[in-house]
Amino acid sequence: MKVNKNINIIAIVFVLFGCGGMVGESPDGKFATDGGDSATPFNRDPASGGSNIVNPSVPDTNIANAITIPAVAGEGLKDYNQLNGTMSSLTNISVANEKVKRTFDLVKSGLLESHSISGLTADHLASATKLAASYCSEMLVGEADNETFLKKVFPSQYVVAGNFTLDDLPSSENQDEVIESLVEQFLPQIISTFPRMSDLKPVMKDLYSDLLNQNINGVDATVGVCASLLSSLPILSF
Amino acid sequence: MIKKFFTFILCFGLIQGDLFASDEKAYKLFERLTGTRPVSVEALSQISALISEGKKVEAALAILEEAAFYNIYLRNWIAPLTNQVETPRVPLNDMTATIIGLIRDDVPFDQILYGDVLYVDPNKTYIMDNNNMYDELDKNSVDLSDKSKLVATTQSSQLGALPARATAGVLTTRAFGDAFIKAGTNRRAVRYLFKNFLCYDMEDLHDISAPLGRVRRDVDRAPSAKTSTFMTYCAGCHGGMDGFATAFSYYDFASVGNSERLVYTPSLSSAVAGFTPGKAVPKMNRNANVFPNGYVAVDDSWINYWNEGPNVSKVGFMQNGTRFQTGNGIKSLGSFLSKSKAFSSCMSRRVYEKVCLSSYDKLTGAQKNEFIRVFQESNYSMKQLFANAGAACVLSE
Repeated sequence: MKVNKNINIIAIVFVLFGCGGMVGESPDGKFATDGGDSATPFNRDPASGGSNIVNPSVPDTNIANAITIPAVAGEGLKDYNQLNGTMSSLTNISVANEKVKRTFDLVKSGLLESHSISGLTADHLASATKLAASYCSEMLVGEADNETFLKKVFPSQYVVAGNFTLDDLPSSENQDEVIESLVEQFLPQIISTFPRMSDLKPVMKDLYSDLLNQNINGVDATVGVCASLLSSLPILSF
Repeated sequence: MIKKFFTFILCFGLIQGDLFASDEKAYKLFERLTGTRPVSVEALSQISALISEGKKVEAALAILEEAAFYNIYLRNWIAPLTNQVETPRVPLNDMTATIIGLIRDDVPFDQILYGDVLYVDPNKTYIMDNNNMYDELDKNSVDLSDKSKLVATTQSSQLGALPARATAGVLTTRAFGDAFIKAGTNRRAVRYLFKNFLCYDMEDLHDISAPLGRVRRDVDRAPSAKTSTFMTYCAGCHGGMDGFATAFSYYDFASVGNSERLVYTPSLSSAVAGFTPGKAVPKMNRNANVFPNGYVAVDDSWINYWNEGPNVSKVGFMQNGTRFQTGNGIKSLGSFLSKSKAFSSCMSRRVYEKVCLSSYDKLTGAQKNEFIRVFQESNYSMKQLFANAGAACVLSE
């Protein structure tokens, strides 16, 4: 139900986030039938008893000569399993969670199996956002045993008995706190290549307001904001 | 006093900056090598500390202990090698599980092509007739990084009628048999052996100068009544490929009773419908009237007719002083090919492109040789290859 509601948010999310020899003969001239007079005389490898099997030793995991030549890290998108695992670890919701697993099985075919940037299609983005909405819904209101995680990530006044709670119309100050918490969890600001909080905050706040203006309650609006961040390009890509 | 204070502030700032940089590198390395994100930056403090000490490969090796590396990253990397469509969207199977296990336990990876090894659920009985064991592991989201839940055993002890001498790493797993040995003439098995583990498809190795002594009777020597077509096109692949394909002469993946399984004819105690104990499987000699003077497969001997011409340097075959290397069975063929330069190069290519998301062909020859060197010097340690690739392209920026 929550997931379905959040799917309606997809369009807004897209706009705001810019989703953007000779035939039959052996070398010695005989027909190679391995039998009778015309058999090809195969040489065996005497050193290994005719089997050519070389026995290995144990790997040396302490080699001193690591690769010294630097290589270039390219860019790419995460495949469907990687995206599922990423959303799972960021929300602390298990991939085995029943509701999330159901959503993943539904949208998996729309997600990528390779890393090519050209895979960034509408189908992929829609599927990723649906999955993100499912994880956010479970993180904020679905799973009862993640109170410790929520209290660590969010200001504790929003976490009551394992559930995330907000007034129907969260104050501007509350919205700021939630956005900052979500950004710091999903896009840690210590990573210099991630979008900056100062750039993200106004956009996310606009989204929050727009959602609240559509008669969505505070918790559902928060799920929408969460899903938009969780399905953003920095999460979908390497 | 003031000077000392500013010096302290400056040093503190530099140290803090270095720590932040290490944290960021640890975060990025984790994401590259697991395909996922850590729960928090703080969770990577040990990795970060190793990076700041300059122990880049050690940091990467530590990340390879993460469950996500095996359950997510490796699984999707390996799965396409187990089917003709080359998609990762296939159920977990014995081939995927065995490769994951070999990497997890840091077993010399060349054994993938000849070892008597299989990774199984220790609480279940492996049955060659179906994929049930691995379907169950999949269904229950079993952590494949857990050494108590996915354990090494021998194929010869699990597969029933397959003696140790007939085992050949993943080439004798159920998944490989189902995908590449089933039906056909066992040439497909050779093609995917080369394509998946040496990174050369048959067209890449096309060489019309190779001897044709092993080309079987089912290959038309004059397609459309033109011998030149055979000599110009067909012979280029069949000359070499058919020399190797007879290593699979005793193998089929076929219906036995009510199920499908790998058949190895020397182990058949009595005739099974369609097979004669100890003889080449019938499909090896089918369509004998197409060219009756062609090669007849009577045993599992193989010969490397590509050991002359352009493929010598391309594949880098292990040399033993003979003109054309030979052996019997796929265990010896797997062992022979695993010692080629192409095997090491192919594994380097696959790892590099997976980790660095960049084409291996963009690397210089020296860079490629570095990856091959590390793989071979570490005695085919895939962990070293992954860790070095991660360190080279993420931490050297």
